[in-house]
Amino acid sequence: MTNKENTISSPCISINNLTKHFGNSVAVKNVSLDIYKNEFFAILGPSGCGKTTLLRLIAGLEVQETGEIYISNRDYSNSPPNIRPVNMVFQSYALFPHMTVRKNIEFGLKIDGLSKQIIKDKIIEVLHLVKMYDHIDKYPNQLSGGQKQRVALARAITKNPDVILLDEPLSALDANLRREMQVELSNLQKSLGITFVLVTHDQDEALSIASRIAVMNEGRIVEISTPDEIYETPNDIFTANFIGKINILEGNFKKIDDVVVYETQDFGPIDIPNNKNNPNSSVIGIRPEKISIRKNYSKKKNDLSVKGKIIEWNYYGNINYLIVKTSNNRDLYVHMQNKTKSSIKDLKKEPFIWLTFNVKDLMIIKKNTTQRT
Amino acid sequence: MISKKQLILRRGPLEYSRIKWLKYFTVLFFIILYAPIINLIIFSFNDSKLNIVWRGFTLKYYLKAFQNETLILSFINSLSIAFVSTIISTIIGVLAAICLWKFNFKLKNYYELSLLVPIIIPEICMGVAMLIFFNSVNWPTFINWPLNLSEIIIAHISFSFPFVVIIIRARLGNLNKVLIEASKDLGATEWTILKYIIFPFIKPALIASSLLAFIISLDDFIITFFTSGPNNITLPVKIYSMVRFGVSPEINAASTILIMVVIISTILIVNFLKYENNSK
Repeated sequence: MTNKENTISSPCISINNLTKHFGNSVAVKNVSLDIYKNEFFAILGPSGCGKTTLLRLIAGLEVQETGEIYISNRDYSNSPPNIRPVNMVFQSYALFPHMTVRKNIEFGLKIDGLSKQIIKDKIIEVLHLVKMYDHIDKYPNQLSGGQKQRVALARAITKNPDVILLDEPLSALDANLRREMQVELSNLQKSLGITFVLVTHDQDEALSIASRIAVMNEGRIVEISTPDEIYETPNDIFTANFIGKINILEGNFKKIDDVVVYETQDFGPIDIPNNKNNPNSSVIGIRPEKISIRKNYSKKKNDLSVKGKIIEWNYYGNINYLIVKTSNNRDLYVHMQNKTKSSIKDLKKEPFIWLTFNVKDLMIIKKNTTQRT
Repeated sequence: MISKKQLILRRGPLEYSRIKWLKYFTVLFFIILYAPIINLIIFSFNDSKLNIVWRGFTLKYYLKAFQNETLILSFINSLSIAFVSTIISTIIGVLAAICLWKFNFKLKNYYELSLLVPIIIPEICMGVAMLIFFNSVNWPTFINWPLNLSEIIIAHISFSFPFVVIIIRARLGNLNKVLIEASKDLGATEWTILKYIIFPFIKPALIASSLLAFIISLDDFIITFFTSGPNNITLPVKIYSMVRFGVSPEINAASTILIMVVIISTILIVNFLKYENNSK
């Protein structure tokens, strides 16, 4: 495993035109994907988008109709799961109920034909790593959800695979424990230097722990990018809508005196800087937190303002999720930090407010969910 | 306002603990159910040739039964048949159950239904069918033990193995298939999975179902009667032939032994099923 550091840029998993149907419904359609060594790769999508199927195809638990899967530069397309150098952490943990924690971890090591002493050392080492050594002789039904999760993780890690596949591993945990485990997973991945592939429907989870994210919808990969790029400059309207909230500013691109501008009803023509995308099939959007609420019209350069009235309040302590009706009868989502104790009280006094945002914060997004292969 | 009488009358039929006469009825029911059996056991210790009046305790008839060579031989036959047919039907049953659990094939539902045929078919028909079958295929008449039991063993396997299949199939239905996937993912081969995952999981059902197969083989009369000849009778058949010459306490003693074997086996089954439920 020492050559891992030397070959960071070579793909660890390479998937080519993978397709899988269940009956008449398509689960994975023409997916091609490279996952690199040492990456924490997340596959994000709504339920039923085929992300779990894609993971199971990599593990060999499903058989694809067409396409190839290369793992560490070897073709494993037609290999059964037991010979693939990947290990999976299942959503339901899949611990063997009739075996203790020790036996559960021993199971995979025994198959590798290691000596008794090495197996014993490895079990102790990995259980210390996931902080479960005190529970070594317990049965799975004596453990809590989070503890089972750690054992399942230990069982996968100890086989020293090229890739660890995680199928919504944290979805059954409560919110606090989930955040704690997210941090631990991320640290574990860094210290082990093993490629992690995480499947999740939780956008926060993907954004916070992944180094790259693939967004999936209806069996296809919509977009692959780093978390900040996927959030701040999504290429696709599906990505923009699925990750975080977005206000789409209705309008059309027009050419005025050789300059392409975006003609909106609310803000008039907007001169979009650095417009690279093909304008005809694109729309303009703005994230709710990029909009600030003011009492007055902003006169700064590149700032746009619109008058509005707050029609819905959702108070979350640190943040307010607001819906503002503009003078043109359009609803905009606005997120406002409660920066001072009296933020809310001050705001509620105002009969109307001004929404202001910078032109630079606008996003240009493709209108149709164009399918990439 | 509901009257006091109505309050009582509004009890549902399942609130049996509130209905006094139902308790007496239950006791009566159990008496009628068990009295003949208890009577049979008690009179096996009676010091009299007749099963009517109690004349004092004795083990004489047990001794007599043990000295009756053909009775002992038939008991040994019964145990041997039950033992061999249990082993074979358990093996076939486990294989069939795993096959039905693991694979989907054409007409699978009908195949599963066909397993019920030996259970629901009237025993007398099954017995006659077996008799005709062994005649028509000219099954050789073996003189030597244990080959002379082959017909009975085959007949017993045919009606006891469906019980094994049904019980183990039901248990396998509870096995989480993710566990099989997880073991494959950890590198296990099919044989490793069978040995370390599937087998420990079905073990309680395996023991319970084989004990059941043992009992139904041991106490079968009708089918055995049609497939046995003069030189290979079993204990139930022997008891039947003895009764034709009058009921003696010796028959009581032989029957009591048979009952004891069956009761002990049943207690074992119940305990294993309890264990099975607890380990879920």
